[in-house]
Amino acid sequence: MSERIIFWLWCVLLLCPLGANASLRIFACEPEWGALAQELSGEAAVVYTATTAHQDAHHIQARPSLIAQARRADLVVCTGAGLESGWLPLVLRRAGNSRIQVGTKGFLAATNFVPLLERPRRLDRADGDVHAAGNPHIQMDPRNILRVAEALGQRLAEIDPQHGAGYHQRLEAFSQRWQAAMQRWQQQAAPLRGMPIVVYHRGWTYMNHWLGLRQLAELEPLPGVLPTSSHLAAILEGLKSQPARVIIRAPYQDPRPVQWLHEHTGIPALELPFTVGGNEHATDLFGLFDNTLQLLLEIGP
Amino acid sequence: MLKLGGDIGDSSAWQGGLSALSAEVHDRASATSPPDTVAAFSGDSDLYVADFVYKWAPAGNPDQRNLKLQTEFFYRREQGDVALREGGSAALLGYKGRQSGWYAQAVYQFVAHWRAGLRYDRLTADNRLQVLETSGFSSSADAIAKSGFADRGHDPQRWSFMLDWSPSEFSRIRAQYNRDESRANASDDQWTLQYIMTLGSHGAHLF
Repeated sequence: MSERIIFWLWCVLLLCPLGANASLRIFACEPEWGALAQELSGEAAVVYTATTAHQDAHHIQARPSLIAQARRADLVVCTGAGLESGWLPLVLRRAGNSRIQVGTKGFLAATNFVPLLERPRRLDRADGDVHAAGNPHIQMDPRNILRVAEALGQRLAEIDPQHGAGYHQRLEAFSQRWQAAMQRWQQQAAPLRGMPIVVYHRGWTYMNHWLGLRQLAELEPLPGVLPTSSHLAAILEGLKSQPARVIIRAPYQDPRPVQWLHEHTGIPALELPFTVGGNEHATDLFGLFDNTLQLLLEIGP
Repeated sequence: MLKLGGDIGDSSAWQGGLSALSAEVHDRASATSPPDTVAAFSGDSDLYVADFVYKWAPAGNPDQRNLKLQTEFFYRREQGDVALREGGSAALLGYKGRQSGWYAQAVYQFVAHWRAGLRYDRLTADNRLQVLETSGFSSSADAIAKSGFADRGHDPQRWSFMLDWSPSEFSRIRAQYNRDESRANASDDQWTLQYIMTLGSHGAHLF
């Protein structure tokens, strides 16, 4: 009997990756943080991104591949604020990796470095999938990207001091490029101020806040609850007296309710990338904002 | 125990597992011997389990459509002696048993909130008994029958089909039909309607 146990132990040992790799391994929950980590670490790190722009980061399954990647990671960069609460706790627990647990230096939650909007006054399931800490979809305001970049750059230097100077340099260079880009975006987007919009999910709050867009309605009756026909009918009625310029959705959201509303109102339907990789132009963080503004400006205020 | 898994592109993921359990058994009573009879097994018991799960969702986004295939296989091998007592009668039987059980199921969410599933279950047993010593039983066959360790020459099986609707993550209504052939000479048609609900917070899901 004991021989059998030893045999299985051997199997497990042989399948474990041996030793640590020379370069830092970063596990990013969402593509925007994967892209940011890549910008700030360059050659010094290998970045694995756990989700794609075509997936809903609320509803991911703790797949074996995610657990295997988390097991090897030196740093986990996620949104936090409950966005990943359906799967990340399990991935971290199953990974059996003490370096990346919540509360250690190896875990960075982006929302800890950003003032959150829409903090709910009460917590009740009757209000849908609300996040107690506030709205976690912070990535569509470039000022938030810069806040997270500063925190992430410092954290990289802290956990990998050998390349500390390099991380500081890259952060400095990125901040300069980003600030220049933000000035350009702000000028380009000036005409969009006050533009009335309808969105699928409450994922654009920070973009609205940044650009001064006016959100009239959400296709989801409650956050995280799929659109219903009665709710769409109510929106249709509301849009008659107060029309919107555009109906916005992210690539992972069902196009049919958006299409339905477009057919009944004539308001253009627009798929914005929402994160890096959301379309062919949003290949990095700069492309994400360039393309988002271009698409909004094509429709115009 | 060994678990392996991975992704196949963006849309599919799989996990397979193997486990083995070995035990030395002392005087495990049979649950199916007649009430006034005591039959106790002593010997070696080995259990082997294999499981496999495959999940598919277009672009890894299961909100609208997704598929889950799942199967588990159990195999048990036992070898040893069965000590049998009934009033003043006693017997010692040599026992060699092989039992297996498995199921395979597929659950497909064809549109948001709606899922359909099909499942097949089967059990098999091949138990060999041999009377080594006996005193008081009328025949070897009598002692073997009373031990409760003999298989019944029938492999139970069941087909199930279900359709369910989940208005939210917290409740589910399911209609299910089973064709249950557990009994040797009769089969059962079972219809069930279930309402399943979740109260309070619940943690992250296992794969």
